[in-house]
Amino acid sequence: MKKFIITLHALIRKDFTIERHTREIFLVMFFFALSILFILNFVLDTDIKARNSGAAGLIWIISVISGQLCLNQIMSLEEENDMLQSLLSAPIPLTAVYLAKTITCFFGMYGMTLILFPLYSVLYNVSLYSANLLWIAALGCWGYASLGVIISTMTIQTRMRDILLPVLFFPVIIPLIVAVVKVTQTVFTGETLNSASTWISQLIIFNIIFTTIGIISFDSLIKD
Amino acid sequence: MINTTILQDTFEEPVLAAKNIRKKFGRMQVLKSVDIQIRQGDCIVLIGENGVGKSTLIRILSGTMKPDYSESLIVCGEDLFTSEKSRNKIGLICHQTMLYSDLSALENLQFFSRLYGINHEEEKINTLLDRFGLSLRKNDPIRSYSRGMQQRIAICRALIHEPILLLMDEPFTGLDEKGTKILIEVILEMKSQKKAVLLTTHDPNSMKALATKYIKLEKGLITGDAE
Repeated sequence: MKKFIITLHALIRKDFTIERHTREIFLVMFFFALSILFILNFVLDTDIKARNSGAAGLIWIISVISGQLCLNQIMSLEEENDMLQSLLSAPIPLTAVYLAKTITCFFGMYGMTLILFPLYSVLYNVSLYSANLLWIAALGCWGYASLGVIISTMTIQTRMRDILLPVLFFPVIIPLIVAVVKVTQTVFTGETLNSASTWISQLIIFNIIFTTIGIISFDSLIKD
Repeated sequence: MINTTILQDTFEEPVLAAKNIRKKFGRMQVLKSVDIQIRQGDCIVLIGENGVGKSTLIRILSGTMKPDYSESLIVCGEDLFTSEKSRNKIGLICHQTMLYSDLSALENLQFFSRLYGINHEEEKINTLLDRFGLSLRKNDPIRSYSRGMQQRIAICRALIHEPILLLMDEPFTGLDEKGTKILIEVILEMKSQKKAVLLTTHDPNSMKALATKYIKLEKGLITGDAE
């Protein structure tokens, strides 16, 4: 277990060090999200009520689209110079590679989503502050990252990777996104979370399923 | 004295023993039935034409590629595909450098030493960098290095965990005279320490001083065997 944690730490640290040197993932993702937010500001209805009701959906759509940039980049780091081979030749459990990629992607998505909420609030003049958003966003982002890394691993060695990733990923992620939007909407409208308990349960179940599939299948996905 | 040596060699457990390895890409059977044994102190030179499957064989023997079928693939008495420990005994150098180009040489070596669970990593890294003449540029990103320098770091990466078996696919590619000399020293050192080396090359004549055995891969089989 100790070795697993050391390996996991080394892998995450490596991804963050590369990001610190290049700033190719999180910064790009953030500016892309910001651009969409600004564009939507000019397109959407100025009515505050309408903006409030659409907030959850819009914020998560922006997160999903810009999060894809992170998924594309995070796995292509391992494609350059045959890095995947070096990981395969090392005496490490490949589950650690899956979890490290998921954690890195999660932090990128989560950080961006937590910035998007107050930004939307300021730009669109609506109040979106709630402590519950912290864990709801965490659940949404973890589910997104855990499934995204699986699909990204499947497409990494294909020539049409950039096209294949959204084509394969978006249809599968829809149930999770619907659930997280519904729960977020419940928070924004000020209702109690009990009214969204079914959606919360779904969100948790999706997280468990995606993570379990990743842990079980990553080894064969990456080797084949 | 001679008899004793023969007995030791005969009963010594091989560092690597692979039996009946098969690999197919699409409809092309690259490896039909490859048997190979590498013993302590061996420096086996694998030769063969382009596209014959030398790199594929190296990858399979390093555990980074699964064969379609193999009766056994044992490294130091352990199954390569089920035992993580066995991979700790192999050092691998491929066509690609297998280094993160946005990290420095030091960061790359630190990362790999953590993956291999190495103690006193700083000491080992500095010794290797000194030996390969890269200490002064250890903090520069790999992408700023020349091909030869990158290859030297790739060799450092493969040696960082002190492997018992070194698998090298065209290791002299891009190396300058000094780099070639250092790599030859490394191979000789491994032989003298009773470790083993398997390498591929397009220039078998240059390996005469190092090779203990030449094997030839042809039509998916190891055909040549010239001691």
